[in-house]
Amino acid sequence: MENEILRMEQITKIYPNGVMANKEVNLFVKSGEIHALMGENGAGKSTLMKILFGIEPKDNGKIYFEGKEIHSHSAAETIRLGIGMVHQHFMLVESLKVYENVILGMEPKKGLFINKESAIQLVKDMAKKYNLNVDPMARVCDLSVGVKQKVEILKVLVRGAKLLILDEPTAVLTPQETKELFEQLLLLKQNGHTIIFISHKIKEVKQICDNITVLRGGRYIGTMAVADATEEEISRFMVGRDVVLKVHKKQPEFGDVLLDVQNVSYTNRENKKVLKNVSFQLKKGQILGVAGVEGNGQNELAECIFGFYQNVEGKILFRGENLLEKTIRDIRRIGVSYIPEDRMKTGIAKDVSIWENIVSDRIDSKQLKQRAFLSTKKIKKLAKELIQDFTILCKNEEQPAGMLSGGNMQKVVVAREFSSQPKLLIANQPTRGIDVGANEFIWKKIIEQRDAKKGILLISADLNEVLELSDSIIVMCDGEVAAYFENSSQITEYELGLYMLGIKKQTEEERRGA
Amino acid sequence: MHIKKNAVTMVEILRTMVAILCSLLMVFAIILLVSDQPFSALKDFLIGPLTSVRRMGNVIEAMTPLIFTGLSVTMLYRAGLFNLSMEGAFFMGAVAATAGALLFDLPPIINLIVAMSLGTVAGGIVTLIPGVLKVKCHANELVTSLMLNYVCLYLGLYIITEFFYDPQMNSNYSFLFADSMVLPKLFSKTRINTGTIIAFAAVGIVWLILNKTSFGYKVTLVGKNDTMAKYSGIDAGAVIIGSQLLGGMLAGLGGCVELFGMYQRFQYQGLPGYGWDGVLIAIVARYQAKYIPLAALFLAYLRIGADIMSRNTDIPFEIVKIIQAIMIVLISAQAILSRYRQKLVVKEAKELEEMGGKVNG
Repeated sequence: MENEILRMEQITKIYPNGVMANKEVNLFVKSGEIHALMGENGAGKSTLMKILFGIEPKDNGKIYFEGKEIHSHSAAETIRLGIGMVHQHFMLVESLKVYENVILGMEPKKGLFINKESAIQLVKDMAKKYNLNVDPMARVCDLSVGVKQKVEILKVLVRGAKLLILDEPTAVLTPQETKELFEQLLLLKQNGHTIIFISHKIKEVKQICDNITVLRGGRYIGTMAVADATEEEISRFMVGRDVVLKVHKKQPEFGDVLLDVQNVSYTNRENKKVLKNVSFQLKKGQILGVAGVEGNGQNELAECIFGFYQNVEGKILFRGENLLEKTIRDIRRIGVSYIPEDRMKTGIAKDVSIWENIVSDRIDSKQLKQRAFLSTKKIKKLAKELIQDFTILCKNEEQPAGMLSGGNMQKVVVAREFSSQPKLLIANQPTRGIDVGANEFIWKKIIEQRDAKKGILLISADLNEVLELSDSIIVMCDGEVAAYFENSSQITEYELGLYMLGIKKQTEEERRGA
Repeated sequence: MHIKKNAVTMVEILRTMVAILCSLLMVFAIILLVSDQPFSALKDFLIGPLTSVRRMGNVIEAMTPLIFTGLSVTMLYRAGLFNLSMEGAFFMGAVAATAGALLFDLPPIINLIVAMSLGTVAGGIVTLIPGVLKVKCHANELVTSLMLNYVCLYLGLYIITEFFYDPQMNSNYSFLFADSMVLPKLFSKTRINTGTIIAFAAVGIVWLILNKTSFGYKVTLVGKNDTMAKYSGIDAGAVIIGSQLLGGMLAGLGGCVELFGMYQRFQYQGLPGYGWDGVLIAIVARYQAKYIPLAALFLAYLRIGADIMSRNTDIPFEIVKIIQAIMIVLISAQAILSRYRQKLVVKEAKELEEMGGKVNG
């Protein structure tokens, strides 16, 4: 207790839209340690830090800093107490020089003017002391990301921070820059600073942290010493499941070709060719997984098939009809469904009710009408049925979709896309950032669809998901199909990785022959 | 699971009420401070409109154009566009109706209908312009619509002075309309006319469109999240254009009704301001057609009360503007009752949490 610098107890935060971002979260940080705060996307790490920093008010709980309780406070006060934050997205004025950025808001004065010499000297001294090599006279816009981060750290140190919070600092760095950053962090630690290191990269945490606090789904999971924990243990803590999810599925029975993608190329608005000559076939009763490091064209592929873009070269034949010549409305009508990658932006409208979200694709359908007008009764009956079938946890169908948890929001999307009786389902990251229960449920539904002789194109950044669910797999790398495997059980995660990173590539022969 | 009225929605309604109440109280305080006869002023203001049939009639007459522009703003805004050209649409509606009334020589009722249809279409065309520019060129509708209002004003005045100017008048008024070009009066001693009935019919139609047709559903969805609407297979551009056309038609019709209900000739020398009032009314009514008449009645009552007060006492009519201004600020101020709202949200989230526990367990 003695050497505890920060103690956050039972912090609860509910956002005005009803999302519970933190529920009774604890964070105890010892003085002079590097403490990792870990969790998947949406686990509540950032919210917790915003509360500490006074950017967001808390609904419950207590915060002690150096033994004294902090009540409601502002960011300025937090800085005065000696807490500094290095944001993931830098808070720097690009057009100003480094020293100007560092002293912004606390300028040493000479009369009415800024004392330029002493400001530069101050920055130089600080940089030297902590071995942060930056030129105080350089313009921020000319600096690399790694150096900008150093400026951010300097900014915090100049303000006398004893506790530094680094929000995913390595996300933007190259391996070399990361190594340098770690050396600097260890130097800071030697100088008696305490650091909270937010990350979801287990390897990095093992490398420099002393203790780990893990959050999952807004809840406090636990704190442990890094020395005692294996990587497997940490990942189990974060993901919250002991064993990797397994699914039971029958042997696939492929039918006729359902989707025939022929030589599709697409150049995006930034004039980058994101799809290069992509060809593959999807059969009835087949789950075709698309593996790849994110940003290698998988999302664009899905959106091309679903009619989001104009100017796509090639042909996408669905039961003999070219989808590239059709609007989204027509594509839906002929039996294609799409679970989009970004549910908050594309999948749902968060300010309108669940029932409105569920019928968005079929609002013109006669089944929802009574003569010329919409029948509220029929619509709500449908919504109630789907809420029950898909076990969407909500108060009732009138609740705004944005008030649901991530998993339940995704279930709303899934309910809509599955209930439209599609012949082809494109599932783009169908289980990203949702709880295990919802995850399992969605997997089960996807397999049900396959067994009902539907075709499924599964795009996922989660290799485990691709390997578990898919019957066949294509690997995308740099906008191209790098490999095709007819039988997914014959390939290992390691081998997939080689194709994903572009180290290996199948010849056209191999791809076609498969 | 029983259905409970959404508590958060209740807070939103409560907030509107609090805003109205606060603005009234502030104005009462101002009256008490500055007036020499504060109590008679307050009396005139508050119950003046109820003291005679004529005055009650005045309230209804004042309410009628406000209903149209309130509906217009509701329609325009539902699609997510801050299209403010309803002011110009109202004005051009009246101009086009004047042209229709003076150019054609058709049988009485038919001529009235033709003139009003012309005005309605003209209003629709005005608001359509920012809508089309938004969809086709991504031009900010706020800028284009505000500028368009001036185009409407000067184009309208040009049309009136160039083609329909009555030289016997001192101002730029149009010729007198034929006697048949008047909306029939409903009650003696007042000028309440069939226009009010048309206004209520419009409320019903807009309510039906927004709540009971797939078009209305699409308008709301596009307004809330157009990416999601497009992905659902909705042609967002067409929906926006449709809603803007409809919104302007409502304003244009309002211009016709006001013209043929209250005047014998075109007399506007500037924008009449009903469009701007429509914004306030739509906000107070929370963009719901069914509350528009209530909000319009409220504003009309305030206006007539203030008018009576200004004629009898030393408080000027402009006091209403203060109420309007305070009301807008208060209603748009998210901070009011935010603690209470947060408390309710927390409670609801916790209830849901417990429910989840039960389901899983």
